[in-house]
Amino acid sequence: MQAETNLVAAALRQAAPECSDSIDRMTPATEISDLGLNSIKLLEAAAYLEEAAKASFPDDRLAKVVKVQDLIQLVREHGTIDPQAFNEK
Amino acid sequence: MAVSYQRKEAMYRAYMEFFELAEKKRRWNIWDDIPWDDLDPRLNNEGDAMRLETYCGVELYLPDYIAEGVNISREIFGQAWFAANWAYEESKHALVFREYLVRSGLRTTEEYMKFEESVLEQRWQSRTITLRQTTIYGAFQELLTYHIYRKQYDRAKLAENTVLMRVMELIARDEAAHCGFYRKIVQYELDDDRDGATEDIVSVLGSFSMPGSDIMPNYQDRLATPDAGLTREQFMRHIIFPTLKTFGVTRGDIARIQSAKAERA
Ligand SMILES: [Fe+2]
Ligand SMILES: [Fe+2]
Repeated sequence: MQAETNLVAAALRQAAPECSDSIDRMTPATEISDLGLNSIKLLEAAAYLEEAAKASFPDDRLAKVVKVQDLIQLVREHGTIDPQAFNEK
Repeated sequence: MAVSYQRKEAMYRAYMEFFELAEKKRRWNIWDDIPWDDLDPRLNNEGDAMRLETYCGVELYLPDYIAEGVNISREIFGQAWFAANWAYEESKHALVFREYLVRSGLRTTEEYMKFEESVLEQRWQSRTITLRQTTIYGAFQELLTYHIYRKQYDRAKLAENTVLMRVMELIARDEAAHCGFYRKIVQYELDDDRDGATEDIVSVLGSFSMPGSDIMPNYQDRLATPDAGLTREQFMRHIIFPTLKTFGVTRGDIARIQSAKAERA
């Protein structure tokens, strides 16, 4: 779980560095919109996440993402975790 | 930036295609094409009044939309003439909503006039800067209005309100046609400068809102009326994903463009 959470946090931070403070404090129950990310930023974060987790998320699942835990769940279901993925950047 | 003859010619042809269909297949008027005699006030409620009034309000900023739309496109015949024709078609939308509100008794003429006055107290200003951004905004916004009116059509059908069904059907069809034209022009922009146009798509979506949403009195309260707008999920599903797909823009493209932009900064 922690690896997925870290990956999600890194992707969100990369898409919206201006929201880093709220991303640092987020929990799985936090809503993405409360972090300050709009729909297009969420898509950008999803792209980083897909790259890092070597995954491809279905559009209809992505449309349903409301909370951080929804993204974590997507990674768990569709991804292959490589914890180094974001550290290399 | 000067627009090439080639591009102007392409825009002219795009407009002619749009206009031919509009003239031959899509023209309607509020007297003959809406079955006003079937109007049954019992089929309406205050929720309908709020929704219709809100849509009417958005359409009421037409003078401001026209002023910006025509000026920004005046050097390109196809796009400027589209703006003129678009304005004519949009002008019927506010008109038919007003007629429906008053004829159905949902609002008295005086109530309507007060509403109109309150809406027009503010002047709408575009958030987009370039013609390309304006066109991109149009592609998303027209699709959104199509879906909103399509939703109202479904509601009216459920309520067996044939008059409102017809109103929504006619308007939704116009909005879909507008979306189609804008999509074609955005495609030209992408062909010319893929990365630049993609960057504009991201920036337009980043600040996207319905026109008038920040100036119409009580807009957010109005939007809370059931089915007045689309949910965030519906916006993703029906507006963002299909539009990006049409343009051949992927999430990966967006991430790549934004990363490059961040590096430049
Ligand atoms: Fe309209
Ligand atoms: Fe329209």
